[in-house]
Amino acid sequence: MTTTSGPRLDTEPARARSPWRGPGSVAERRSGIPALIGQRLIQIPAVLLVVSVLVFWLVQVVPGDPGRNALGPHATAAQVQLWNAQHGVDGSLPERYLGWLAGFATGQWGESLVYSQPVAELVLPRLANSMLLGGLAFALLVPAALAVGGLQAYREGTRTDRALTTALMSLAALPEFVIGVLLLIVFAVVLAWVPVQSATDATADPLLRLRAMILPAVTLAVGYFAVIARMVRTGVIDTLGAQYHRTAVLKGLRRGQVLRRHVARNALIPTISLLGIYLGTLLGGSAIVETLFGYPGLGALLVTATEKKDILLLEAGVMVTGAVSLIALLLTDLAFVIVDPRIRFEKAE
Amino acid sequence: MNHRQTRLRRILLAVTTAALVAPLAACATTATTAGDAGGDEAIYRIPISDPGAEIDPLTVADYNGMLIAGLASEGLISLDAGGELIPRLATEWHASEDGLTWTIELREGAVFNDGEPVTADDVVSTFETITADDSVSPGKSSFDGILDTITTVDEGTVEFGLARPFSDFPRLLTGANTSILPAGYVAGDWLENPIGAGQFLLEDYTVGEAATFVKNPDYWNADEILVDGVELKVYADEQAKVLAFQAGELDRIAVTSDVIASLDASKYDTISSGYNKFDGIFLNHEAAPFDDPTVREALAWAIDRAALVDDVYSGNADVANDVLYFPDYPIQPEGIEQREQDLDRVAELLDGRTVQFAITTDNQLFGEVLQQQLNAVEGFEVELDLLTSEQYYADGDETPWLNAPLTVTNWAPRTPSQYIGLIFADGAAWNASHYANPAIEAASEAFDASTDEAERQARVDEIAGIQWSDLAVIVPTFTKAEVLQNPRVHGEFAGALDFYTGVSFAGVSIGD
Repeated sequence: MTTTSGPRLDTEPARARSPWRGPGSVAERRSGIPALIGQRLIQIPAVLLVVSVLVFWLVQVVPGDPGRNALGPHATAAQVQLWNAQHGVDGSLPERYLGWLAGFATGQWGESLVYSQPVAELVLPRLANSMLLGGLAFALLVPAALAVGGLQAYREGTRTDRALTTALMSLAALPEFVIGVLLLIVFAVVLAWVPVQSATDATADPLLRLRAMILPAVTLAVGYFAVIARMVRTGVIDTLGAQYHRTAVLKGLRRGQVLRRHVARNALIPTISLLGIYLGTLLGGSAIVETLFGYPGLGALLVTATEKKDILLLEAGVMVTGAVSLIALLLTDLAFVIVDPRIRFEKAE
Repeated sequence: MNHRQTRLRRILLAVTTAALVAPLAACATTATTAGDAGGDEAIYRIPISDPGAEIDPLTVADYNGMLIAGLASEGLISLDAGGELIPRLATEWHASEDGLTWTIELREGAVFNDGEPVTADDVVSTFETITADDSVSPGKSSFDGILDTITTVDEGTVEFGLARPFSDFPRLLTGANTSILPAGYVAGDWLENPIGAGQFLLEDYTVGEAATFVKNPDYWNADEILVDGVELKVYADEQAKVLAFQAGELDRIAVTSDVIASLDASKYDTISSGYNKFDGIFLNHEAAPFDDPTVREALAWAIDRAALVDDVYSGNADVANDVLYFPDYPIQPEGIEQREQDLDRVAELLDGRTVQFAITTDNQLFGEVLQQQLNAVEGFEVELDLLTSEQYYADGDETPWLNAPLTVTNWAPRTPSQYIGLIFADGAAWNASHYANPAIEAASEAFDASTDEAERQARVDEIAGIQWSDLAVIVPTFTKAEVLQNPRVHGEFAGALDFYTGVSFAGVSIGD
């Protein structure tokens, strides 16, 4: 038996190892979850620490100077130096990094160099907006992709399957920007159902907020739709051809039961890992979509922070989006534990 | 197909359709429609870009930030669309006989938006802050070497003591960063307490989204402010801006070649105001090939200025003649031949040589058009070194915009003497041409010291003649601001449409 110093999530097909011990029970698998979470709670800060060092260092290569950005081309060099000194950006890199790290760890995220506003007040509401938008996109994406992928699988090889495959590939080939502009022309300019700029309504009452979010959410969802649907189609086709599916059908189970208990559960396992990655990406914000629709999310803010070398804002934004992505991956692993009977936790003997 | 398969397919289709269409259908039933932002209120809606900088009247350098600060604050004097001075918080101004003292009378009844009157002490404090040794205000450079002292005469009168006579001194008071702020104001927290004596009150500003303003009921000329408020909406994408204007979410959009191509301009009002910049072609006199006067002159004759007006500015500019007197400046140079493309002269000046150089700029369209023009002329082999603004204006002794052999930089309107002090003078901070000519500095000083019209005209002719022949900078065009405006807006803006010399909505109204 493999010996490890801690719990290890092992998704390798069981039959590939010897001796084969069969799928673990749900109770057995669930018992390893707290240890998995504990392990990740150590790994996630370590990963974020490395990322923060890289960001702090890499942003130095971005051209420009914070003082020059603030005061414009016609301020003198002396004025720019004075501004930098006043805003604490004239020290050595390690000194500034350690200062930032100490502050960030204690909840003192500092003040944006660009906007002169507390970083936390800029980042957290934007993160909430991005997560809301990403969540809506995900909520639109998953059922639609499952439905289309499932339909294609059940209609494999038919005209419907081929037509949907062609449509999905065409959709996948369109950049988000093009899809967004087309949606804006139809629904904002011609029909006037929604505003072009989402910013004002995005913080209004729920109905106006939904109205502001719907086009950006659809645009985001469309970007991932083809891949997920394709993955679902493949998974379902594989499952439909599996021995256990035939057995279940021959046993005379009702179609709904077969679909729920045998097809869905097994067909979705590969899709879940992809959904986990996409969920993290969606929740972290999309600069392209947010920029096009004027949606007040984190993606567009971080682009400005990078361009203007606003290191405090950038670091805080990267840390929170990184944390969101890593937590999404953890949730994916937890979902695996629940749905995949092949998952087992191995412990040191 | 059996019954179960049919039912399954219908369920799947229904789920897909519902997921995609239901939210949009819900949107369609929302009470508010996209085009009626502001409800019954007369709100003028302007697109801006994210200022990407702190908003403070004293230090703001970005145009969008200037607009945010300028709507809520006001200076002593501004310019109208024709370049004439408009009294704002100042009502009168006059110079002493020796030209070394300017006395400014303040408007009675003008108050800040906290109810306190605008006094001479506030004006003194504002300009002392701008010109202090530790000032980081970009406006400071306008007064360097010119403004010496600022003193209170009485509550409504201020005296500006100058280091040297400067006949255009009132024009320096129209620039950015010269809004009057209360005595004791400290830069840095203006957004928390957006103090000013402007036409509007800043109601809300959310980074990256919008700034909303309501009319200031205590403004000294409140009766002439006919709109209820102004909304500045932040757009990061030009296409989205055009679509928003098309959808009726905006009241104006700046005219560009893309806008003209996308919109039917006949559906909107086209309004224009004064000149707002020039894109200067700066020639480094210490770097090859522009250390050779014949190459500089050949370049000046090779440029097709009329084509630049069409191709770069969509016709929204005037051909210029390599002298820094905007057409709306009261005194214009006389007796100078207008340069236009003359390929025979180019061939004569180059005398069979082929000169190679690169155009260094952050202005892509201008750079590309200029490159194409010059490469079509025999004797020029031109490359384009296109940089981001951050790269172009990078700090340090080797910054491209002040050192490359040929740079293209845009400058907002300033007084002609300011340009000489900033661009042409020996050792000037922004002498991208590495140029010096004592004659032009002497002529400029003589102009500044004179109030006699004939003498001033003579000095303008002299200065312009030197600029035209020395060619530190080729000025091919003067650009104007032009916007398409929603027909629901009536009246004319008193000043420049991009408000760089002061915001004024006096006389502008909104109605069907």
